[in-house]
Amino acid sequence: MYLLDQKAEDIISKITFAEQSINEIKSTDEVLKSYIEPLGYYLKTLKESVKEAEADFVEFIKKTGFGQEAFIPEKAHRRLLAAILRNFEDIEKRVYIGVDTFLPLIFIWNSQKARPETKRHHDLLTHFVNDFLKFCCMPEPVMTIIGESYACFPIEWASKRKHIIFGTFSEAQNLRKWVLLAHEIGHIYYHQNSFEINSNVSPQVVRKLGEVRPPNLNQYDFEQATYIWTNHWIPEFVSDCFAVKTLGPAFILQFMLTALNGQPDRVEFTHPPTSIRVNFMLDILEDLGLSGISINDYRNSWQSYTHTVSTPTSIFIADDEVVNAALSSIGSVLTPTPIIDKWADITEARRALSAGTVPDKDLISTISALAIEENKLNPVQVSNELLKRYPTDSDVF
Amino acid sequence: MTRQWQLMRDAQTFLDASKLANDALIGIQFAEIARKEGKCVQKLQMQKIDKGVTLLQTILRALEAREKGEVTSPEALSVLYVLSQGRMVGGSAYLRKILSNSLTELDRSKQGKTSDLEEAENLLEIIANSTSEEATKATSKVQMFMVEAR
Repeated sequence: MYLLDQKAEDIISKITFAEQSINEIKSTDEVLKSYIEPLGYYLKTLKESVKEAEADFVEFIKKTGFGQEAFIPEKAHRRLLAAILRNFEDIEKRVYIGVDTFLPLIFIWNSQKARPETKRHHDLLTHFVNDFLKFCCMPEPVMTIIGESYACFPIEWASKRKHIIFGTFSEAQNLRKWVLLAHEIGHIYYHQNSFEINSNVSPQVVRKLGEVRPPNLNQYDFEQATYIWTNHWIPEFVSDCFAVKTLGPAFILQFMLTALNGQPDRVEFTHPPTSIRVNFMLDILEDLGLSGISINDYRNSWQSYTHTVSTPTSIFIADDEVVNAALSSIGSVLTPTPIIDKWADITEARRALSAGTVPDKDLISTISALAIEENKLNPVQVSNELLKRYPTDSDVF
Repeated sequence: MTRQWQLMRDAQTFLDASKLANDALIGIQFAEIARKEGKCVQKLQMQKIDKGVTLLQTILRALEAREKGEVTSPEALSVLYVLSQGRMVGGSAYLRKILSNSLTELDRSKQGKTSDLEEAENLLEIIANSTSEEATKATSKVQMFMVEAR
């Protein structure tokens, strides 16, 4: 048997294992079902890809007489074998990204829902995420897992994309931090509206990058800047904008706490500089005109740190004109502002908290108020009270 | 906060481009073998070559749209970024020339007018190799993240 045939068998065996694993799940859990169905379809397409790759290899053997005994000198044959091998390699990467990363999460999800150690906190977090999605008119069933950091994990199965939201285990009782999930859910919003966003925002950014391009900048640096903006920074800014327009100051304040460090102007491949992000969000907040908050207080407290430690530099990718073009177009594309209707409830919840009581309000208002207000209450006390108010469902398995 | 989000998406984007370029290369090589044997090129192999044609046309359109300030897909811009790392691409004008030449070669080849696909093959090889390589880098980082997460 050829080595490559054995490799194909191994890949098929992984896919078959995944198929069996999901077929054995008897749960009636609707959230889980919404993942398993597209995954099942994706596994079929992966199997077909392996079969096609195997067929190419069979044809290659037939045409070249390759017998695994000696190398082939013919250039066309060598190129063909290289392409066939690369195809197998890419299929393995697809299996890893689409299957290996997700499959264990099914069991983590089931376990966190069932085990007494995690069940109550997991249920409250899921409740918060579901309420938040409804609040933003994004009724997508989303798997929520208590993990190591706040994150949104995208899985693409053929043309179907699903997301998994992660909360931070060590902050399971510090509920004010949960507002950080607004940015993560903003990534789902970005994906659902990516065509409209990219049609309106990307051309402005790309055009401005071309206009301000320094004459001595090489093509690679220019392409890299374009790539970073269109694939990484625009989605990040959109998610920030989404988070502020849904949770307002609650998100900004907790974001500032998380992002505060000694390098607010640091340029990263994956994320825009923190200072630009915070200033952008404060500008949005100012435009929202919410009562009872002082934008200047937020701005001054942030700038008191960042202006002290920052060393402004002029670099092409973070050119002011490019940033302004991006931010003004993002601000105008994202028109929904759910925070405006919610603000009265959050304000009432703040009053209750400042009076030392757990607010008699919905979860989003209560957690948003917790994120803004300097609490007189112990976070664990608030968490315990909310766990009582939102009891776990009976065992779903 | 969501580096893993970006890495997953990057890997998927690069794998999609790699698949198209790689399929086209497989089709081209099988077609060349068939011609040498004096046989007709199978329909399946022609379809694979067409995938490469579609990919190159998409990149060319993205280049032109970008210059006109029109909408360009992030996926096409990802491929342009990867291509700019290669030795072949010195600037947009040069890349446009290579893309046009490659498309002409592929078109003439489909009509049986030429079997010389050197420029198209080289370009597709660069795209397949470099996007696959970028997908490997992103996948490795995802693996590191998953290990840490667990």
